[in-house]
Formats: sequence, structure tokens, C-alpha cells
Amino acid sequence: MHELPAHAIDLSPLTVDRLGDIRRFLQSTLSSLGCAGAVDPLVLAVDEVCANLAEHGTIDGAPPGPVRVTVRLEGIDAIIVVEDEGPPFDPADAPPPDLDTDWQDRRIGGLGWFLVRQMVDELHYDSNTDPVHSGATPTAPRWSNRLTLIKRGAADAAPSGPG
Amino acid sequence: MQVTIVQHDHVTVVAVAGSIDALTADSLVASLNDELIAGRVRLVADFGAVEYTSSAGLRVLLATLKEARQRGGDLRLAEIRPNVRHVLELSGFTSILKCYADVDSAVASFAR
Repeated sequence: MHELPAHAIDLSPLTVDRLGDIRRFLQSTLSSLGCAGAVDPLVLAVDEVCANLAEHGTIDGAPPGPVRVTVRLEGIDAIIVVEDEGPPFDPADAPPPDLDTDWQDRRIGGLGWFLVRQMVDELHYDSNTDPVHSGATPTAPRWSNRLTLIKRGAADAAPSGPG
Repeated sequence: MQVTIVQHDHVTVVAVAGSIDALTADSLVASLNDELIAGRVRLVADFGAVEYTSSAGLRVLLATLKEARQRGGDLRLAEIRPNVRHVLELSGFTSILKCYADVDSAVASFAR
């Protein structure tokens, strides 16, 4: 047994009925870190990432695997890391969104990764091809995909107001 | 998420409350589809109590919009909160969906 990092939630497994838990975790954690003004965009970004993992993050219908979401501050920047053990997927490979065709021809779906990119300043993807032996320390999770979302200046963002 | 459906003379108001995400979107699209299948194709989605939507909600709206218009009706939105409106605007949905400040205006917009 090892302890979770200070601000982390483990979803084991991650299924779509855990998305509400993830949003509540982010809301309370970011607020406690003084990032109330960044709650809305970061909740949406991480919800999209995790929904994608819950719906597509396994191979050939295998049961969903564990996912860890970690929140930390670096100075005034909020850093959120999402680690999973599923098949590799680089969001850079997501098809571009369809934002301005007529309603008849507009594609249903395909907006998740677009919204993630709109909500954060940076998005980094790392793939670990040797997950069993991964990690800088012996207790690190055996992640195979790691997505890092960065919101600059999150800790001094103005509060978003009531609600 | 809760869905409450109220029939008006010529329009059906579907009031949605709570969060629309990958979990709840399925039941919302099913509720809206039930109305369309029953021939009630003039729909107003009352979003006054929608606190949050992800792209899953956008899928619901576009699928329902297409189906309603193909059946000669429409899906119109009312009382969208600022954070939800922001997501709709970013995604280009405010240019294809008719949005109204309140439910009464959305209902009245269907009057012939």
C-alpha cells in the first residue's frame, strides 16, 4: 500500500458513473488551492478526458482499467495529470472539430478534445511503452498513458462569481 | 439530471435540471426522442436549471435538432446559463440552434 499524492483521486475502474465524483473532486480541490476561477474550465477539460477514457480507453471491450487524476500547483499554475493503463492515444491524433458547417451536415460528436484544448493553456501527452517497469519510484502507478493539462495563472484567477 | 416534460398547445417543453455528461446524456436523448417519435416535434429545451454540460450534451442537442427538423419541427433552447452558453458558443452551436432568454418566448416563437 502507498498513499495517494496530496490531491488525487483514483478511479478503479473508471466508468462514466464516476464522472460526477471527478468533477466534485476537482471543484473542491481547486477551490482549496485558491483556483476557484479556474474550476469551470478545468472541470470541463478533465471530464472530457475521463469520459473519453471511460468510453474508449480499453481494447476490444475489455473491462475499464484504473485511472488516477492528480492536481497540483506550480507557482500560480494548476497542473492536472491523468494517468491510465489503457491503449495509447495521443490527442494530437484527434480529428479536427466541425464548427461551422450547416446543421444538416454537421457531424455529431468529435468536440471533446476541441473543448479540452479550449479550456487549458497546454496539453501534453506521454506514452509509456513499458508500463510494468515504469515510474521514477517503486510506488508510482503503472501508467501507460499520461496526459498533463496546464492552466496558467489559475491560482490568481478571479473568482467566477456565485454558482 | 432530471427531465420534466410539459405539453403546451403546440409545443413541448422539456425542462432539464442538473448536469449533462457522458452518463446522463443517454437518458436525455431518449426522453427527447420519445417526444419526436410520438409526433411532438416542436421542442423547447428549458436549460434554466442545467448547471453543466460536456460535449455529451452537445451530441444530444445536435442529434435531436437534426431529427426534429427532419420531421418538420425544431429544437429551441431557453434560459441557458452563462457557463453552458460559453460551451455552446465555442462549439459553434449558437449559430445553428435558436436560443431564447426565457421559455415563454421560445414557446411563442413556434406560433404560426
